[in-house]
Amino acid sequence: MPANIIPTAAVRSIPPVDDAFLVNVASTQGAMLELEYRQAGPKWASETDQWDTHLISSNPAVNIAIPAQKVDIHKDWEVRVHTATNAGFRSPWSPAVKVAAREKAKENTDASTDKKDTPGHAVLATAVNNGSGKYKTGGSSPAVALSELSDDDLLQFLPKAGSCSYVIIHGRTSRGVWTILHRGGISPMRVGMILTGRRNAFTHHIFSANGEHERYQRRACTFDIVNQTAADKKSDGGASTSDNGGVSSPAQGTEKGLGEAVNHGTGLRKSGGTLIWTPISEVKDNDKLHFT
Amino acid sequence: MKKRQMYVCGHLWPGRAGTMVHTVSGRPEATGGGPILLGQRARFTHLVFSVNGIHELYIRLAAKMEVKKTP
Repeated sequence: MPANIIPTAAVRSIPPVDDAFLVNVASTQGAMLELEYRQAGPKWASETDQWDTHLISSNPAVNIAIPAQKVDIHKDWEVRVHTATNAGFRSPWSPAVKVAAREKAKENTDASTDKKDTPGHAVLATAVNNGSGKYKTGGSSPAVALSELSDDDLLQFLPKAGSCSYVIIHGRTSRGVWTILHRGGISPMRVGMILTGRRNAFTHHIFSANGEHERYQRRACTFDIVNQTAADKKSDGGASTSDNGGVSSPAQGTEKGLGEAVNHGTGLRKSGGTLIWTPISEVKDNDKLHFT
Repeated sequence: MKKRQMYVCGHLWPGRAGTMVHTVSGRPEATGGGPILLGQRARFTHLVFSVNGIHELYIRLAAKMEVKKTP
């Protein structure tokens, strides 16, 4: 569908009035139009380049009410107009569109359920920020019971969509009070490092993507929370029994691996590598540590 | 140009964020468990090792290091 770009000068912006922001578009086309609009100017890498859509019946001039929270008064507006053909025209409130959206949501849910069953991925939950920026409804913050996690478990955050700027991990007490335990990048981290010795104070971990306390930023993203230690145990479990047949040789029994430290060579803080976290109870004074 | 050597760092963690104590650093050579703990086993909960970096600040030298223990 060819787009007819209206120059920015044709769009008259009026400062916010109450809770709405009015854009006055003087269109010369009198036919059925599909109008798309967005704010121009440089965008952060995380911001989406999406156009919002508005349908115009036959009125050549239209006032679009946009929630003030979506408006940056320092930016101009870009507007483009399509001629809506009868074949392609569908009102967003029509039942057919609603059914299609419902089916798409169902497919997404099925896909996430399938991934949980994939071996090698112990997906605990999926945190979602849908980018609307609305309180409570702007995403989902899954809770994971601490009884499912030990201090040595390594949590990984695997981005699925959007740009994950930061993750916030709350600890929830048995009385429902949320306390921020971690705020930062999505680098892997140990559960013990998050809890910092306060395991008894909390019953659940709550994970939020680009937001906190059910208040979400307008930055859509989705990521899976994966218990990497459980996944490794799952994959190693079969291999070890088949290799040794349940009996460990004396040479292997004396040597025990504590883990693997990695430096990716990027030089980035925190996300530039992974550490080995070893409980001190595992290291005796007479033990000898080898680095290979 | 001199080739940069891989180095390992060990920290002791007392169970509170932001309070890692540096205990050992140098070439990856075998070492005893007792000297690393500085005789303060009761104060700490975890022993943390990193390669080519310290306090979660990494240099731009990619490496992978495995730690094993023998009695």
